[in-house]
This record gives sequence, C-alpha cells and structure tokens, in this order.
Amino acid sequence: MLKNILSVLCGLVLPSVAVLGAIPMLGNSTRVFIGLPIIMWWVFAWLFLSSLCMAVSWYFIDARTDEKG
Amino acid sequence: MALLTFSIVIALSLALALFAARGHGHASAKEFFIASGGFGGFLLFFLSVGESYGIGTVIGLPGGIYAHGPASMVWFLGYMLLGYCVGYFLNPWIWRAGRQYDAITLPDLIRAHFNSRALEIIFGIFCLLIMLPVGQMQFTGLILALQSLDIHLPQWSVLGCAALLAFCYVAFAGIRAPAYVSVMKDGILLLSVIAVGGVAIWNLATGHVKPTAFHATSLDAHEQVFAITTIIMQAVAFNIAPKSFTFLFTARSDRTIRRNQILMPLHMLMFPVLIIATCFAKWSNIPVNSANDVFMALARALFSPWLVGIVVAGAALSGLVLLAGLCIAIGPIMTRNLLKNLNEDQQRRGTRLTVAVYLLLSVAGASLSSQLVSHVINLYYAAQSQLIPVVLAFLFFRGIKGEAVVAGLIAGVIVSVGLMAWPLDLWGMNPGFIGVAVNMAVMVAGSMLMRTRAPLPVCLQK
Repeated sequence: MLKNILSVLCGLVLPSVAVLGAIPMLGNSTRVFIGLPIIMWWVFAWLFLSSLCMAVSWYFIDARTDEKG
Repeated sequence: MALLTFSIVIALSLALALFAARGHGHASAKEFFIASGGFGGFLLFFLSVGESYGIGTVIGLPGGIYAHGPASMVWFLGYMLLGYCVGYFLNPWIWRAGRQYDAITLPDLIRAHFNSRALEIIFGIFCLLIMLPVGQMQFTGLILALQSLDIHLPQWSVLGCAALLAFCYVAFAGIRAPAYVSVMKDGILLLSVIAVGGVAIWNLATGHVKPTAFHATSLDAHEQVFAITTIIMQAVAFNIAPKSFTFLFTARSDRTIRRNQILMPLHMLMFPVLIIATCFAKWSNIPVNSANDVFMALARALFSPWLVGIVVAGAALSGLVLLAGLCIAIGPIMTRNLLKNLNEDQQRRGTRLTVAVYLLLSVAGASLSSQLVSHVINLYYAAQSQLIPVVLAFLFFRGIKGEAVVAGLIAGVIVSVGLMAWPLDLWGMNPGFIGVAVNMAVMVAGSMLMRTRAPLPVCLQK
C-alpha cells in the first residue's frame, strides 16, 4: 500500500503539481525567452521530467511490485 | 511534383496496410478489432501516440499559436502531458477489466460490470454520437492540408477519395492497418517537423530573424482558471475516449502498457520545435492564407515542391490513420453492442457497412460551415468527459449502481451543454469540468439512495 502511494506521488502528483501549480505562479509573468513565455519553457522541461518521474515509479516501485504479483 | 511525391507516399501506406494483413486473411472478429490482444510495445506505442496526434496537431496547434500566441495553448500541452501520467496508472486497470470481462469496447465493459443490456445500449449510442465530430474534424483538416497541393478538383471528390482510403485501410487489415501505417506516418511527421523547425532554429541562431514576443505573453485570472480546469478534465478524458479502449485491448500485457506510457511524453518533444517554427513564421512574415495554414505555409516557403508533397502526405496520413482507428472502434460498438447475436462473419460485414456510413456522415459534416464545426468540437470535448465518472466507478468506486450512472450521465450532459449554450461567468471554469462534477455527485448520491446491490469495482475483484 505504501509503495502504491509512493508510486502515485512520484508518477502523478509531482508532475501535476508542477504543471498545474505553474499556471498561477508563472502565468502572470510577461518575461519571455526566445520569444516564448516562461511558462511555455517550464512545460517543455516537464516533457522530460514527467517521463523521468514515471520511470522512477516503474523501475523502483511498480516493476518489482508487479513481479511479486 | 508535389502531387507525385504525395501520391507515392499514400500508395506506400496502402501497400503497408496490405503487408499488415498478411497471414490474417480470414481473421476472427477479435483478431480484426484488437489483434487478439497480441501487440507488443512497439506497435502499441505507435498505435497509441499515432491516434493521439491527429491532423489537429499539425493544423490546429500551430493555428492556435499563430492566432492567439503561445501562452494561450498551455492547456493543450498540459493536458496531453498529464494525460500520459494519468494513463500510466489508469490504463493498466482498464486493460485488466477488458481481460476479465472479455471486452472489445467500453459498452462491453459496462454491460458486463453492471449486468445490464440497457446500459450497454445507452452507452453504445452515446459513444457513437461523441465519435462523429472527431471524423468530421479530420476531414476539415484534410481539406486545409490538401490545399497546398493545388489540386483543382471539387472538394467532395477529394474528400470522397480520402474516405475511400480510410475504408481500404480498415477493410484490408482491421486494427493492424492504423498500427502499421502509424509507424510510417509518425516517421514522416517527425522528420517534417524537425526539418521545418531546424530551418527556423538555424535562422534564429544565426541572427537572420529576431525573436519578438507577439500577442499577450501572460494569462489573466480567467484564462488561468480555464487552463487548470481544462487540463484536469482532459488529462483523464484523454485516456477514456471510446477508441482508446479498443487500442488498449490490443496490448499483450499491462506491463507493456505501463512501459509505453513512460516514453510517451518524449514523443511530445516535437511540440517545442513545432511551436518555435510557428513563431518563426510570424517573426519572418511568411505569408499564410489563414492561421490554420501556417505549418503548410512554412513548408511551401522553405522546401522544394517534392518535399512539400511529402509533408502534406504526412499531415494527410495523420488524419487518415485517426479515421481508420475511429472506424475500428465504431464497428464493434454497432455490431456487438447495438445489434446483438451476429456471428463473426456478420460482425465483419456489419462493421464495413457501419464504417462506410460513418465516413459518409463525417464527409457531409466537414462540408458544413466552419463556425458550426467549432461548436460541435466544443460539445464533443464536454460530452466525452462525461464518461469519466462511469469508468472511475467500475474500476475503483464501491457501491455504484447502474441506474445512478445513467442519471449522472444525463445530468452531466445537460449541465455542460446548457452552460455552453447560455454562457455564464464561471470565473473561467470549463463547462465540461462542472458537468463532470455534477455527473459524479448525482452518480454517488443516486447510488446511496438506492437499495439494490452494487457490483464490486474491478480493483477489489480477485
């Protein structure tokens, strides 16, 4: 049960908080980088990071739990 | 020259569909619709991501950014990205439910779980209705993409050819056709985006074009609320579109599904390149016919005609593959869920007839005014999300009853459609999001009031 919670925290809650939380935090900013708003670059970064979060959930928690059955 | 290379790519895709059918000439219905649940990671990945990126990706996303600025499309990237994270946890459960109930479609699951033929029919009709506008959107996108080929033929004949192609994919190889053609389509699309984006990035890096912010670069409070509510709703709804069930059931195991989900956000890495390329078109004043024409305009401005033909073929294939996938999902809903007691041969013939009717209706829909189409699209997103409560109920919720699920669905649809028809100031909240909340509340409250026995959710069954 604890492992399932850890997996959900890492693979779903963390990316959700990062992406949804950035909207009120960075959405007001008028700063741009290469013509694009900062929030866009933050979401681009999370394309990598969300994949990494799911990989951590899989390789450190779910793959082992599933094998045990 | 563009027409020649376009035709060669389309002919190759047909050859690939025929190749996909080899050894499966007299396939059973299960083989035809879900490849007997035998797809490994590679084909499942391309089938899933290929079906996620329809023609809207190369037409609609750049069009939205060109017209309203990059910040306005944060919700689009956000829901897709979080949709993959939701799918990592949700999709293995859907797959397990499919195996447990021997299902091919969502109405199959609902009938088996709630033991109700009435629910199967209600959700079967609902799924058919919400899949109609998706086909229409693909044909509308195809019209825009094919304009770059300068074909001087009546619109109906071009759309008729596209419909015939989608029909051939399905008739040749069932679910294997969109899976195999997706690999080819994704390759072309990825190379097209990298090529167009590469030229844009090179021009920016060498200082030939100066980036400047255009449109508003920030989101006001209403836009922020809209983005957050839309992302939450769509991230779940993205995984429970009726066609997604059929695709998930092609997987060999739930482990295959999970491993694929990890890689899917990386496939989205083409979006930053596509977005920079769109901005480049604005910064360098490349002439475009309309906002939705921007990606094709970039290809025409940067490449020779033979390459433009390949780019257009990639865009057209993304529409055609999605159409073929939709046809595969619609077929069994009609022949298994709505018309009962058909044998396997009748199911296959019934599917071909259903597919033909569906494609004709979609072509007719695409010929309607664009204003009407945009209303239909908004309705589609709000309506599709009303499937969220029933799917969560049979997977995870204890004590939910069939009658309450239908009451929730009706309440959710009325609220979301009503809020769209009579716009109220809801602090920017997506009407579909409010509809889902009402749907869920009615479903739970209704189940508590009823005294009948409720089935155990899939997660608690042995």
